[in-house]
Amino acid sequence: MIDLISILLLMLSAIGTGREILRRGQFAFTNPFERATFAAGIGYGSLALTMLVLGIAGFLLPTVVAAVSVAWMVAGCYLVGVRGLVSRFRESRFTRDPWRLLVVGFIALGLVLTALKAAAPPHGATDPLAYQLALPKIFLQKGFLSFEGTITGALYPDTMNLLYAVGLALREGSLAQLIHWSTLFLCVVGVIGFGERYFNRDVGLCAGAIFLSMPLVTVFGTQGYIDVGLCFFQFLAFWALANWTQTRRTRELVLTGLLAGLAISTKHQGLATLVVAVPVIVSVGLRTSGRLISGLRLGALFLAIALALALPWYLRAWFMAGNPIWPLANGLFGGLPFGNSPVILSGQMGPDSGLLGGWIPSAKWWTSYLGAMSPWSWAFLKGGLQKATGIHFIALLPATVLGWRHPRLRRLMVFCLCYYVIIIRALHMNPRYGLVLFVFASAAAGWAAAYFSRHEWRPAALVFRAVFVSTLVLNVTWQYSLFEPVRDVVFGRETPSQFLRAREHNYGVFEFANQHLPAKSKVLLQGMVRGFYLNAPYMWDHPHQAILRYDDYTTPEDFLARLRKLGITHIARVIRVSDTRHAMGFPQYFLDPFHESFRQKYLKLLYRDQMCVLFEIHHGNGN
Amino acid sequence: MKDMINQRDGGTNQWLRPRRWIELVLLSWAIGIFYYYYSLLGYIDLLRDLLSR
Repeated sequence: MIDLISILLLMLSAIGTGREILRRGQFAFTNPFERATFAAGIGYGSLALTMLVLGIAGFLLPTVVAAVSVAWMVAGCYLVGVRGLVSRFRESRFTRDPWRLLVVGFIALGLVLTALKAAAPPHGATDPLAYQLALPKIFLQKGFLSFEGTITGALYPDTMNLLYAVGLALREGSLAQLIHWSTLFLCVVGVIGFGERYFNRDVGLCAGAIFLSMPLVTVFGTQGYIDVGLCFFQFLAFWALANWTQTRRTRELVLTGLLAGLAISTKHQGLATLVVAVPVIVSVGLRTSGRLISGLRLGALFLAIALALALPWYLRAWFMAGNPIWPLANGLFGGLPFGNSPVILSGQMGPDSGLLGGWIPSAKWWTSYLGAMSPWSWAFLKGGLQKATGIHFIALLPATVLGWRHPRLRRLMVFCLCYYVIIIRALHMNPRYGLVLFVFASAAAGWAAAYFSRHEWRPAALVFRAVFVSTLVLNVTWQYSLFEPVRDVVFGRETPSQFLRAREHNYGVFEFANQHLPAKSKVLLQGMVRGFYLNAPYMWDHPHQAILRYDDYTTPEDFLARLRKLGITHIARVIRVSDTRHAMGFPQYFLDPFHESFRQKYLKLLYRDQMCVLFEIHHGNGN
Repeated sequence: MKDMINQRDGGTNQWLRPRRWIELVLLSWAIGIFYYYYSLLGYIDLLRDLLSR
């Protein structure tokens, strides 16, 4: 419960500080939802930048981060003026209509259930416990933005991770998870404001309900990933861009650049924001002044602001690994060796396939990837899967043809189509990497839902309302079923330790290590990458990293010498490596002659449970 | 009679307009696909289980 109160205070503080910054910049907004969402985006951005400065200066220590965050929260809560905020929402009278009230009720219920699920200790998913939550914990231990050479995403941009550092310094992993959930909350509030600004309130409310109904959002927004955070900053950047195309005021363009910069410095996939924004800015600039140079100037201004915010992350990667986007495109930049070259563009079949060196794919390409790129197949995946977009888009987007004469809806659909192409060609055909598409698609689907729900033929409107509400009931039921397994730990009927021992395969071994390992121990994780719950320094033995490669050592003594050089004192090992991980290149340690020989000579068993073991490296035994 | 219907529907008989039929097709599509999805993926069973507890 303390975490839930903390996240509400954090959001209010973000709105407070952001609103003050926007007030000083004299930005104008049309509705309270829009104002609050932009303020929160800028507020969160300012907090992340503060953490970045602390990280660069070497002061990213738990006490410093907690003190700065509390000061920021006090200032933010003072600036937000809760009374004013509430009265503005009251003035907007959005709950007078029973239909709207019903939709708002389901949105609120969905948000509460997802918040409660996010309040559980982080568990289950690999990426948060391996990267997004694990890295900020390491930064806080070391006090700076260190480079963990064995962790695959160690040098990716970390804006969201720095916000998670605030959560970890103030509380625990669950608050960090709730920070991610808060970006989901803000996306929902934002899409209501966007719908209201560009269409009407009904569109906004239906769009909010549709976005929240996406299984992908429900599952990933409640865990410590960063994708909904990326979506939030991208959404704001595109929204600010849309506002700029209306007002053509430079300050809106600056705001667009700032938000695009925050998106890029959240995840490399945020670069797609530039791919869409730059041509729009240049063409609008050209149309306004009739001169190409004016358009180019505006595009350059936008690019300079956006890239300036992302620059510290690229410079960090360049200094530490010789490649600004390490380990991507390592062949191009010649950065630190990395075991595997990650694919940047999706579905490449070589320059001989298709036209223009493979940029326009061949018929074979289309047939090969049809299943992977089809919105129909995305819709029918449920739970945990990163492509599960839900059914509202398939059901409702065809109806946007009824509004084709509506210029704003037409532009929205063209944007969605362009971004869909980007997801297909550059974002691994993975909706999780391009969630921002679905915010805008929710607005378009929301238009269709609002159209049917207010249809002039009353029976059609009533039938549609009944069906739409039924879908919301079913989604809330599913959200409740996701919350149920964590109910006891969230309400304090089960301790986090009991909860995690039953759900995290390596929690037991890490709990033992945290209690018993001497200071200055360093652990090698064998066959596992989720290091979040281990307090001692550690490194991975993932086949993709290039720091410790088992093939390089022919005798146990060579291997021992390497471990000694790396400062490794203990080994935490999975007893049976899964078939998938074994196929990826992890050894089956207890069946592998080299590892068995090393174990017999140099390892002393300290701990064992059903899943993992902990060894101490016994340096003298081999003699 | 026809005049009365036209008057009631705002001056023109809406059912003579193709748009009304397109709307009906799109509405039917949405309702049908919603039902197909939620029954296929077990949402309806989930609700039934929850209510029967």
